[in-house]
Amino acid sequence: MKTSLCHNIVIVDSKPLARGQHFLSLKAPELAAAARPGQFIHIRLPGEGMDPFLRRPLSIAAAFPAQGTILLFFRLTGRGTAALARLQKGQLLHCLGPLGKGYSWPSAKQKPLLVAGGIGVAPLWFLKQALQRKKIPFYFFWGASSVDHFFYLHDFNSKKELLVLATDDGSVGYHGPITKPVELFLQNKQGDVKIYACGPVPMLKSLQRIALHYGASLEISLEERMACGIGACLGCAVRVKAADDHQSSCHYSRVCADGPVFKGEEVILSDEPGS
Amino acid sequence: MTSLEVKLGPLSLKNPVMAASGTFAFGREYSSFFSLKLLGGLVTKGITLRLRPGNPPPRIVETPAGLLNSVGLQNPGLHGFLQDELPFLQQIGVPIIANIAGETIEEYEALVEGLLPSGTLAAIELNVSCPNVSKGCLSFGADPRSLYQLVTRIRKLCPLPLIVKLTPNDIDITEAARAAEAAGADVLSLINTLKGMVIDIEKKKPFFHLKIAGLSGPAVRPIAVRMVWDTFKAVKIPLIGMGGITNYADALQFIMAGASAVAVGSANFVDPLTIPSIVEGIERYLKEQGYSSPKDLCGIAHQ
Ligand SMILES: Cc1cc2nc3c(=O)[nH]c(=O)nc-3n(C[C@H](O)[C@H](O)[C@H](O)COP(=O)(O)OP(=O)(O)OC[C@H]3O[C@@H](n4cnc5c(N)ncnc54)[C@H](O)[C@@H]3O)c2cc1C
Ligand SMILES: Cc1cc2nc3c(=O)[nH]c(=O)nc-3n(C[C@H](O)[C@H](O)[C@H](O)COP(=O)(O)O)c2cc1C
Ligand code: FES
Repeated sequence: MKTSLCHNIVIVDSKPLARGQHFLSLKAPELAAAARPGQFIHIRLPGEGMDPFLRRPLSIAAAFPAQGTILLFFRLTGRGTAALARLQKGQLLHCLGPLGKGYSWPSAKQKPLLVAGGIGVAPLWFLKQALQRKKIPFYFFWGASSVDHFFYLHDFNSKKELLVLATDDGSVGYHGPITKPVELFLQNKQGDVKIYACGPVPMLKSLQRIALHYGASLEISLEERMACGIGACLGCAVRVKAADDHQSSCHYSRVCADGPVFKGEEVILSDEPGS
Repeated sequence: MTSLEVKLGPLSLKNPVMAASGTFAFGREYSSFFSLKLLGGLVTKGITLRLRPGNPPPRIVETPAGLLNSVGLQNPGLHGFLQDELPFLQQIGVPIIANIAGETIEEYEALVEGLLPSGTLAAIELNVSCPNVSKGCLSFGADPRSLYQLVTRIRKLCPLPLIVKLTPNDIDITEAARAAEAAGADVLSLINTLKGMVIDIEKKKPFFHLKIAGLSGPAVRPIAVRMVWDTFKAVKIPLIGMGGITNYADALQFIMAGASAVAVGSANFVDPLTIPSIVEGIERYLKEQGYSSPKDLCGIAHQ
């Protein structure tokens, strides 16, 4: 029986991260070895009952193959994430993963520019880790509602890596949406840039426009409500452009299996946030 | 000797546990979790004559012990199914049941005619119970006369075992069951999802674009068991029971209420290995209790 996507994982560390956010470190050697930035795991919530019923998808925020661990960064949203944050060291979880398609590697000419909105930083953190390991310099733009939502800012090499922050309340960095400093930066930047982004839909929509305008390539990581997480239920639809033009009608891809990372020009984001 | 084999009229299954329509796509995804040979049968996602893009998101919301879905029959259409999905399904080696949905009788007929030449389907399941599309489908299932008409017409041109999937909505399910039986259905499957709704209190609007969606999962199980119970008394043809089955004990409830076989839907989302573990559990139970076949338990709770 093939079960390589099913894992029992052990909590190694659990702690609050920053305002309303939580950190879990999990012992999961196979996952740590197999995971690629942008992929996620689908977690069965602890407990015996059938309520809450569905698994919860969370991005892999870092992987340490040598130690056999992975990290999760998540925002306390509702019942499921609250239950995960209550877990103690040594407790067991069941998860499926690594799932989905991750980010594609930048070409030799492309300079990576990572744009995170709030807890959307999670999958980008893993990408940042991978770039740092390969000693590839990058730009990191991170927006949040206020200064107390950021964490691990010391984890950047200030000599090689440009870190730009923005907050809605102006408590640190640029006062306003993070897409503004991204745009200013691109205005003055020569050469190929590849933007990697994860965050709220309005931010992603701005980035679609900005990438198009400045000729940057763009990969975005999306969220949608999920049931199966493996491509079978068609619950996690995102509207995409049809491959062939004569088929002008609506066409949907599965965020869990065709994504969660998509090419920026490929998806049609709706004005209403999906979830 | 214990054998898990069951016969549903003209349809034989190696074991009584099938994958329910729309929760197992066309099998591929679950094949990376277990050998699909372990399935009693695989019911495909609902197939329509032409490709259907499905409903705009959101399509899923979790509810107490279950979920509401508004997928809207997204599927590649008859042609896409035959070309891209059937070849994979054929090589699994278990009965493949095509679940079909139409807006008119003619569409159902065209689907059956299009599917027959493949020669490899074990049965056709008429979906007359999808609550997530605006036309056809449920309107057949919720009206005994339309249902009788539809099933009669399909029966005429369908030499394969014919399953009719009943709806728990808008009709006394036993009435629909009798109509389908009278029109020549070989097997009935029940239940499809229950119509349900969630209001987004921030937007002060229904959560789904189509407002009403389909409820499934453990939350519906007692209702589904009761409907199998009632339908067992109402008709003579075999039943496939489903609705909230998550383990072998749940499956046994349906069998004891009168189902000859069961199907597992939403539980696949929670644990992809649900079906093989239910098959194992039923076998263990039969052995422990000294039964030789699931058939011995079918409807036993009525005695
Ligand atoms: C591929 C993917 C990766 C994700 N990675 C992260 C991450 O690294 N960190 C993080 O903080 N969050 C992440 N999310 C969002 C996270 O899944 C939700 O915040 C979480 O499921 C909420 O569960 P809850 O029980 O706390 O909230 P509730 O609101 O009680 O959840 C109810 C239901 O809604 C679903 N849901 C609620 N909000 C979302 C959402 N934004 N996206 C998808 N489903 C949602 C839940 O899964 C559940 O089924 C990710 C989502 C996806 C799809
Ligand atoms: C996401 C989803 C999609 C479904 N799609 C179909 C479908 O295409 N055709 C159909 O007859 N039933 C469909 N169903 C209904 C299931 O086959 C089953 O009847 C129902 O979900 C009850 O079983 P469960 O509680 O085990 O899920 C779907 C159910 C779900 C949850
Ligand atoms: S969550 Fe089931 S297809 Fe994506």
